[in-house]
Amino acid sequence: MKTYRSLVLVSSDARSLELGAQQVFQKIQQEVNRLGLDEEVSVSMVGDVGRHDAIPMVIVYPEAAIYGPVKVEDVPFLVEEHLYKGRIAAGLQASQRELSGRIAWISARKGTLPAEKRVVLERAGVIDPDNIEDYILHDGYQALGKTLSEMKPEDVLDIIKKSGLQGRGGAGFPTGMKWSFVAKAPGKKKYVVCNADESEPGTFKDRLIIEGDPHSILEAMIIAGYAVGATEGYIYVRGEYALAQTRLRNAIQQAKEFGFLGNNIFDSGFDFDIHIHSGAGAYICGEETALLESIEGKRGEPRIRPPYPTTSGLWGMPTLVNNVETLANVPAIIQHGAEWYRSIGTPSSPGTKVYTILGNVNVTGLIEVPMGITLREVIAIYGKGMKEGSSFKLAQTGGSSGSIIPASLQDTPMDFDSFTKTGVALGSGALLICDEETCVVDLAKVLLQFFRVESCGKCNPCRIGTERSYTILDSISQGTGTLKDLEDLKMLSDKMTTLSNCGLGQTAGTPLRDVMNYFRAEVEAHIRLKVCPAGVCPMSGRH
Amino acid sequence: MSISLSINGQQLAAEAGQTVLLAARANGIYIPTLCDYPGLPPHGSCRLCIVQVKGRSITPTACTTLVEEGMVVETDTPLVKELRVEVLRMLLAEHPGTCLFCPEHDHCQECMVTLRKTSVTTGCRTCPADMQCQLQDVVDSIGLESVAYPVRYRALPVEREDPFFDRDYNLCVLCSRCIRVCESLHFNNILAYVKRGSETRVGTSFGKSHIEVGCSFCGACVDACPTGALWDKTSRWDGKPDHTVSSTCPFCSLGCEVSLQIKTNGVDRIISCYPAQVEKPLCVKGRFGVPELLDHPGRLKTPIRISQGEVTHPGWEETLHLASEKVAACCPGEAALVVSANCTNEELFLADKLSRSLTGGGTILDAAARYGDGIEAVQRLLHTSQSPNILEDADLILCLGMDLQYYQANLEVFLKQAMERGATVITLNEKEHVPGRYASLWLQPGSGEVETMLGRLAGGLGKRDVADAIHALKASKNPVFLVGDDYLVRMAGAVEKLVTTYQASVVAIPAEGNLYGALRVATALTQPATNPKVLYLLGTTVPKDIHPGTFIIYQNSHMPAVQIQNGVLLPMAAFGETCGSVFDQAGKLRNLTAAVQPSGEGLPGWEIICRLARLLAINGFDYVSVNEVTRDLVSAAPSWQMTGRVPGWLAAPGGHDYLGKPLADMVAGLKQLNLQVQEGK
Amino acid sequence: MTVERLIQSRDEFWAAGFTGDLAELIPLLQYYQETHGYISPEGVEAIAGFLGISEARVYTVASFYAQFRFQKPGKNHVFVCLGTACHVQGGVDLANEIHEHLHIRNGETTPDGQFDFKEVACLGCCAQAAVVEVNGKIYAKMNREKLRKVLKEHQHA
Repeated sequence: MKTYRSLVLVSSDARSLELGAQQVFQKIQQEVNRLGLDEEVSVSMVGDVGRHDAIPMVIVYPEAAIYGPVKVEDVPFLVEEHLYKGRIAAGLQASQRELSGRIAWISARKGTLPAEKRVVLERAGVIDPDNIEDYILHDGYQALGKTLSEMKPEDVLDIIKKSGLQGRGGAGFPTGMKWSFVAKAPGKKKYVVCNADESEPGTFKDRLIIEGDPHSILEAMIIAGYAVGATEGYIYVRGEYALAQTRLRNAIQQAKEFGFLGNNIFDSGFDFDIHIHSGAGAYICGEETALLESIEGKRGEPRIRPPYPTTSGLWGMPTLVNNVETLANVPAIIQHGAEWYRSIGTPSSPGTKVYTILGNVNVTGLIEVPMGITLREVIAIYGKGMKEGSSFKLAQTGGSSGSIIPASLQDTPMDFDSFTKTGVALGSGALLICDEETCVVDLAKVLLQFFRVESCGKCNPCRIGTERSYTILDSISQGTGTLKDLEDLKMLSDKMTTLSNCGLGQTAGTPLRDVMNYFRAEVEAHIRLKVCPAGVCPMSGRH
Repeated sequence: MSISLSINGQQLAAEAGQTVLLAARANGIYIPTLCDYPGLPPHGSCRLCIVQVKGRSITPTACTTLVEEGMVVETDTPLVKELRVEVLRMLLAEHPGTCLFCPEHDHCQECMVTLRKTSVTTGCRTCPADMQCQLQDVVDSIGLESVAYPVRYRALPVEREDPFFDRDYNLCVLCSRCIRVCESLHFNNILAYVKRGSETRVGTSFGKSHIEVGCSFCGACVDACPTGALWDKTSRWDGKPDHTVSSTCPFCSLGCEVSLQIKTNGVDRIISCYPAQVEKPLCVKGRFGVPELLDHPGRLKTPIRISQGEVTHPGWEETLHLASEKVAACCPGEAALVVSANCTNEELFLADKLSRSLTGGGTILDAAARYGDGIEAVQRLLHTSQSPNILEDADLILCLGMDLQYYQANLEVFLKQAMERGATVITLNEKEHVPGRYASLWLQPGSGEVETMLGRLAGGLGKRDVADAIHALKASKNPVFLVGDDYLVRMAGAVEKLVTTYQASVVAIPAEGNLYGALRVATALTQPATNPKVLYLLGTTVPKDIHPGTFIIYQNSHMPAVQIQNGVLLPMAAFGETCGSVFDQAGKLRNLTAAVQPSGEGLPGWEIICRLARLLAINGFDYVSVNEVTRDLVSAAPSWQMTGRVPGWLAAPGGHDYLGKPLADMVAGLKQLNLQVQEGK
Repeated sequence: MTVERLIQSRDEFWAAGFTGDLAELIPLLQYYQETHGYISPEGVEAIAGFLGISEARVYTVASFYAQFRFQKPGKNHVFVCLGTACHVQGGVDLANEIHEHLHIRNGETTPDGQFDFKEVACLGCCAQAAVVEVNGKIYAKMNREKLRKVLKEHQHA
């Protein structure tokens, strides 16, 4: 393998591509060729680089110089200055002020920020996601090699169990346990399904993982297949994620060419194949049994459990369903061992967690941090504080099915255990940071609007409960609410949680419950005083 | 394996694999539910059947929880009650509920009469399901006394364009019973959930009409609906039936068990006809045909005398007297007695007996004109024909000339189950039909080439599809041939040859309600007078080619289609108005029950024959009840000897007739279906 | 639908690599929408015929998923994101703007066939809220005025 003097990375998330990243990339190649630097400089398109304020973004290693937004006409100057003359191309650099995500990580290496810890995003934004050789160069498929050559399936199950890895889709179920259920379940055929439906609003971590490092998911699925005895895999990718799908298709093709997928992988006698299923726009399909129904070509209605997918999943066969982020942890665990993994995060929730920071903070984007960091730290360190003139009121975690966390709880460590104890949900990793201008009634209303559209409509408490709650919240926001509405809301949220068949209905009441618990006074103001303290609701005349 | 568990402190035994709901029900413990339905897998959508199980933190639904050894279940704790009340309150936020909570609730039945004939149900007593609504039952059992949330009325237009039943989805509780029952009986869904979330509805593809999307109108969805969302057009305003009577559907040879719903306000009336068991549905004829047939304006209600085209109403005594005089005046061979294959065994038996005394020969079966020379082969096929239940064990089903689009669509469930267990279903039909599209193989001969193809199959020589079919037939260990009316009529001989070749079991299904009985009871098809002087038509149509001077004794439930010049019209009790029996296509004796009084002055057919015979002073007609006739006919030796030539003047009846008249002439919806078939072809 | 048309669409599906397996229902719908612009009653019939299932069985699935359109699409496709992040930044305002400006509601097409409009739960660009997508292009940090301008651009284009 050749070594290069400089490594040039061009951001190529969906938005960057729209803004001309492809042209920038081609222009850089042209310029590099023109100056005869093609032997010394490698130019790659990478996934999302973690910030969107200055894209298309070009990052040049080893200096870690960040340029953006880069236009095609900037390229000759940039290449000449930085790559030919070896000095930072003045005036093209992205502002250093807005550090986040991947950029934060680069800076952390230089010791300017508390360490973000990268496990699942280690390669995202560093390698060329369309190039399997680049992945291999960065230790890719080593875990698979190790698995197939040195380990028995039981060894794999054992190491995953010992690592303490928990599902990152929101529920936090111990991954090792799930794997061994599937391994133990009898079945003529078994499946591994990667849940990349990621429909929680505000969450886009899975997309970035796939766009930046698609092979890590394939590698993890093959390892999982070997461990549980499955021979076929499905990746259920959200329909809107066109780029992620293209990258995965390409990755699968390359993996087949290199013999990582197909029959008799590495002469081990183990066969594995992966298909991609494009979602068609249904939040509920993030629920694992609804997802399986959808792959089978049906309405995404969650199944009755038991039986669980681990014993009767896709086409009635034992099926392992794991979230993208969960799987992305697997190769690293195999490579570095359970001990290493447990050294990250908290004892009850080892490892890292990828969050998307959104809302009224100075810096929004993606971070991967050890489990157990607090909300206050996230806002202060990675969000660079609240926007000027605003103060923190609440955070909404995990997209729609998460909790509303008031300021009083912002020092709770964010891990599965601590959150469960305080009665809030960690969810899928979205952190919507809201300031005093956010009205809780309005926030709850939009969440319920979401649920009433996204409910599969099959079971009564969820279909009617979300509809009723929405109507009540709407009437409160119009200034026509009554105090009985509060009782009704509480009743509805309680009963939806108890009575619904699946996770959607069971969590749809959470925002209502949180609002009633932490912000009751504000809701009552809407009813008693006919005033929206945040000045958002229609009765205050803003709409 | 038996499992012991406790429900509400009661120690019970249950089967392994049984749900808590069924175990409770089997032991007389009531758990309210709306989405559970016999024969369908658990759905778990209404959430009413929640229970508490010791050791579980959640409250599982009884319909989706399997019994476990030592399980301790409580179905009526304060928590369960509270949750149920809330589910119900939520449900009633989607369903008009004034019928439940109106303070005048108990009084409006007698006061509000005129409001009934409105097409939209908004929750008052205009609902067709009033007093027979399962939602009302559940509200009663749970003891809910008021609504909690304002009703979100969906304001959907009532769908009325299809025949037989209306659909008012404003009343739908989305239990999906209609959807699932359709799926379990037929190969497809006519109805399905549409959209999702709070917009979820039950409907068809793009809201098309049922007739357009190929619904068979078996009515199973209507039977399954717990509310008034799906309801018969004919009984929409009749209210709750006063009682039900079981009987046998007379409209084809399958002999399906039915449950007749009777209303007794003033005049007894059959308001609808349900399957006797929900797992065994009817087809459109049986499910929806009865009330319209019985209430038809063309019913013959009084005895009528016609002389040179002049009509008088002289009453029973005089009319029968006149008829007996005309018969008595005939020499042997001058009178002929024609019977219908829709008649009961008793009518056929007595007619045969009468005919023998009068003419020395047996009755003439009208259907013989339909089957022509094939009648002997039909006799042999029918004699060996077995019940459709044997399809459950077949590894290959060959459908010959069956079309299950509308009539006999309830047989589809056998084909569906067969396909599910991996059996081969081959269908031979030249036309577009059901199950053409989903059978394992559809042999489609060109028109006029059916017999050739049957011959090739029997001969074991053929190409392509035919070769495949031959291969499958040869490999089959237990082939069953399902023979439909069409091929029985047109090519019974060729079918018989094929059956013999492959030693297959036969399920032959003639369209006539009692062809088996007619062939078993009736003795011979003799050659009667070319121009009979007196023609006794028992449940058959008036032949067109008969001499105008012929005296006609027309005994029927409905008026004749053709004007009679000379004769008498004797009003006969129709189905549901008289007792009797029929043989189904497998030779099983099935009872018909008298559920209501005959229309007008009508009398049971057997009684009319007996009275006429007594007037003629013929011995052996002193029966006082129909049971005596039944006893005699069962003990008599079966005949199965229908041979001879069909008289030239005998008119062939249609396949789907009732007593000589096309059913579609009397049931408007069936006519609409016929038109659909014609348009489709 | 005539048998000839059914055969024609069957051959088309075969040519596109479909085999007639039930699990292909959603991919078939996606394929049909891609090639025909929307799911028409004929499309449902063709797919039902191809898979040997009822039309309702196809329609129930199609109507469940937000991706599928049942109206002939306009020349320009407008999506307004109403995800939580976009809502907080005024997504509803944008939807109202479409309603007031183009006189169409969610899922409808303007009578002149210029625009169709759909509200979506999340476009996955939450850091750019509020977001509008027109013809596959993301417009970030939108407000009513900006949206009007964008619409005007496309109307004349």
